[in-house]
Amino acid sequence: MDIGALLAVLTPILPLLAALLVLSGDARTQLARAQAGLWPLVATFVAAGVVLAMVSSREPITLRFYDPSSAANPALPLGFHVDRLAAVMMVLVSGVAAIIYRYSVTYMFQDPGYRRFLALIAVTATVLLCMVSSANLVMLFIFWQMLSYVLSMLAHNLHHPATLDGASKTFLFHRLGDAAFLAGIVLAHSLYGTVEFHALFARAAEHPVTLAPLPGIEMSGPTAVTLLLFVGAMTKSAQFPLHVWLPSSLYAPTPVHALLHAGIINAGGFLINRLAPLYGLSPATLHVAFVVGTLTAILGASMMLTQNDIKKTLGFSTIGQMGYMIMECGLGAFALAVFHLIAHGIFKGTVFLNCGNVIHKARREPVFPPTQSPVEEAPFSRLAWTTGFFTTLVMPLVILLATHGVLQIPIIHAQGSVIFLFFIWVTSSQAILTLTRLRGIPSWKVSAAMLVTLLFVVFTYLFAAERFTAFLYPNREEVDAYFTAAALPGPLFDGLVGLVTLGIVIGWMYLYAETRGQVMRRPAWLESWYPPLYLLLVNRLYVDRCYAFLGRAILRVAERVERRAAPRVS
Amino acid sequence: MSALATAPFVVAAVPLAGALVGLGLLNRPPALRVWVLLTTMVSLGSVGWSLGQASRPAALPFLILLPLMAFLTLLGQPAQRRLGSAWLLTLLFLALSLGALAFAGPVGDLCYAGFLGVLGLALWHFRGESSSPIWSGLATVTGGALAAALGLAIGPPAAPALALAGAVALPLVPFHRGYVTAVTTLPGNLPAFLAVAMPLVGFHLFAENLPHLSASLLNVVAMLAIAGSLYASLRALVQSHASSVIAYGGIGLLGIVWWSIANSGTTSSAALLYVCAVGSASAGLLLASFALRTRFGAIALRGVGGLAPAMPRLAVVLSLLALAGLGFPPFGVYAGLLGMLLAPSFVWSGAILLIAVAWVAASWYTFELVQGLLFGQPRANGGAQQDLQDPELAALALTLVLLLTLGLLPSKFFDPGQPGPTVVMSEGPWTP
Repeated sequence: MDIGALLAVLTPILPLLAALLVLSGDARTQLARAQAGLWPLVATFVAAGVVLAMVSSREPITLRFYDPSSAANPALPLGFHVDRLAAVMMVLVSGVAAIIYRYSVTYMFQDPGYRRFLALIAVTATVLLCMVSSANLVMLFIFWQMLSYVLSMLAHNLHHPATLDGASKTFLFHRLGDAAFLAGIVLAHSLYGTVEFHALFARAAEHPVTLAPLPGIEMSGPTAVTLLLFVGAMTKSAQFPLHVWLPSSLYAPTPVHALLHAGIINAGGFLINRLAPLYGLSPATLHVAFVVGTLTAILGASMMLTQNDIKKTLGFSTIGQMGYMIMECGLGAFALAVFHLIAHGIFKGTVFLNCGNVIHKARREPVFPPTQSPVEEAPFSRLAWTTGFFTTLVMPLVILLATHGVLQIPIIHAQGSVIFLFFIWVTSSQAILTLTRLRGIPSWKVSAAMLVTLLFVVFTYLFAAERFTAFLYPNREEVDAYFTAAALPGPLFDGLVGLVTLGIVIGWMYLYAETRGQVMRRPAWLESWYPPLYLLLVNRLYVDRCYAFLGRAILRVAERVERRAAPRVS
Repeated sequence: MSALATAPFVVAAVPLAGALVGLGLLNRPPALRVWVLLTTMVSLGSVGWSLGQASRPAALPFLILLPLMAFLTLLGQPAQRRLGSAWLLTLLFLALSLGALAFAGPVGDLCYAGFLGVLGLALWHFRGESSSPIWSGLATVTGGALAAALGLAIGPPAAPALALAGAVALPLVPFHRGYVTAVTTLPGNLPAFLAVAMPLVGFHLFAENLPHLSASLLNVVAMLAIAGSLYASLRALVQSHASSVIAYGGIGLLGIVWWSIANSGTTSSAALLYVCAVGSASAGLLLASFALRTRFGAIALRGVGGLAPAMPRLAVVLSLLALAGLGFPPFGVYAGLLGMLLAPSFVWSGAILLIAVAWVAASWYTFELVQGLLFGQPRANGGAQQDLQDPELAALALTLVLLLTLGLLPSKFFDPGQPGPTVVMSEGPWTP
């Protein structure tokens, strides 16, 4: 076994040492053992970094503890396949887990479930590391299921009823996804006779199969398989309408959310990337992913705006971001989705780790709104606003044309490139629209901040994301094939681009009017939509209530069946 | 008579002799407890010896599992006079079930009929200990015994009757009442042991008669299996006692094996593994429920809860047993299920989605059961929250080890003559 393979095996094992260290011994030495438990996690991060460096410069590391040409026990066909995607995820998972563990050593110190909690963080790291480095679909599924359970255990508080309900809901929803995943594996094995990744991709590409699940409805084999697996991805990545477990689990301790939002929830995006060649064979599934992702992004962000609690706001923000990530997958921008999930994971992990302090501070230093002196209206800054206008609306157009000329990107014919460029614009607009709220500071600093933001976003997308794409998928043809498979019909694509453009322009107009103290005229019918829309969003579209109703209906049927069937006591 | 020919007799005679000798010890519970434990160990040894004769290698997991589970279910029992008859009945059931598996042909069928007959008598004998009527269960078991006797008298033409008898023990809705009554009303360790023994002998009987069953009958069985699995899962959701949840949960999960066999028209060692694992997981959960019953009495689930802080040993083993029972990797139930679904003989159909519903439902009621017992505000209605004692813990922990072993056992330990619970990960030549 060479050093790479040894490290690939060692990386998921090391966090278990931390768990054992924390769980062993008595309560008097628990702090010392908890602190010592950090080192195996740091070692995991270092090992993952070394593995990443190794696979960056050579072939993927593959190690199987079974013979793929014969038969394996389905319970645990243990094998590791560490390619660049797996190595990147290993670095992310191990890094985030080490930071959260260190934070929790202090943050959770007085919690009655201190040791259980720290051990669970370490076990979660092991499960995630095994999942991302799985050598076959069955092993991936095994750790996928374990993640479902570990997550519900992390969300458990022994006595708090709402937390118990949340944990129960989390587990049940994940099991729904697990069941769909299982059906996907069984169908894949039935159609292609293998659960090994590369053999599966090759056979699916070489042997087109058409299925007729319902009379008059036909779909290809890869579409049926990927749709079932996508349901699994939807539950883990909290996609609408299977997102309800995420807000329900928000009663869990803050570090759990940091781990959940930075690591666990990315599983859906990882799964789609791991099976990218299979998804690339199914335009229909990619379109479904695009629709689901877009819907989740819009609804998640909208519901976020109406929340009145910091953790729920962040939770719905994550749902929106995960929708954005799945939408990227649906557009064929798989590497961009990974880039997004890493950036979002680090950002949201940091925010969650900080939100405990914010809540704590708010409780200690309550700030009430002033009752007498009105807040002085900040002056309108023409400089800041004009810079914002140019950086958001004018400069992107210049950059777009420049990239077309300099980088030879065919923006007219390749939807993939347009998607990249369009994301630059959307992201920078989002950032700059936020910055223009600093209208009370008519300084060059704000204007400079806008310019730097724009340049940063452009650089990130055009160079970092492009380089990252080339790193994850070195074969450019493969990347193009995914974009082609995900390509939407021309008019629809143009319409969507136009719609989002219109949204951003209207957003600017609205902001402009607001900053000038003017009121934008809105039709009465639009005004009349606001209260019901707010009500709908603040009640999370009543999706939770629909599920609760469904659950109660099932139990009512069960009780009716029970009353009829159970023998009566005389 | 050669060793090969005497092996089945020895296998069945050891526990039978143990039960007869044990009658003399009924008034001395500690001694009787030691005696029945010794008998099960000797029985295990005799089964090992008989396997050495290589008479029926196909029955390997069957035969070993029965004395092993008899031992495990007896291990944690308190030495009480009122449980003595249950222990002796365990030995009698062990003898009859081993006989049903070890003997081929009419003797095996006779043992099976005897098994159901004794079960009927046991239900009648202990009818006073149940708060609910046992008549439907008793009628089902009696019907099963009569069907087995009919099959014994007529031979292969009566294969459907024997299959029906199999459906009583390996519970298939609507012939499941006998299983439910046995698991929920009998005293001591009997429910736990029967949760393993009944499905195993039922599976064996059905597998023996499978070649004689028509395709149309198998279609009916497949439909009954799916409907029954969903029906049992639904009922498991609203049961008020742990043993009832486990019983209906077991029926829901065993419906999957009925469907798998009827769908593919063959039995495989993956199906056998699945039956063994579901039975063992149910037995483990029933043992845990018995431990609670000895502390709190036969109270409803809503009367007990929040036990985890006071009973950490129980919390750990019960959580793990529940995971094993609801089909989590790497325990045997999961391995058996995946083995069945990924077997070459498996035929994909939309019914798998209904099976998936039953599988998800198992997560629902099992998780609720465990969460209700262990977490939340402590409520125990005055019972003593004393954690598991060493023998109880050992019995449950060993059951877990057994479930883990069933999940991780290499394929060579299963019947070499049949396709094992294995998955071809990546065949070389493949033709679509």
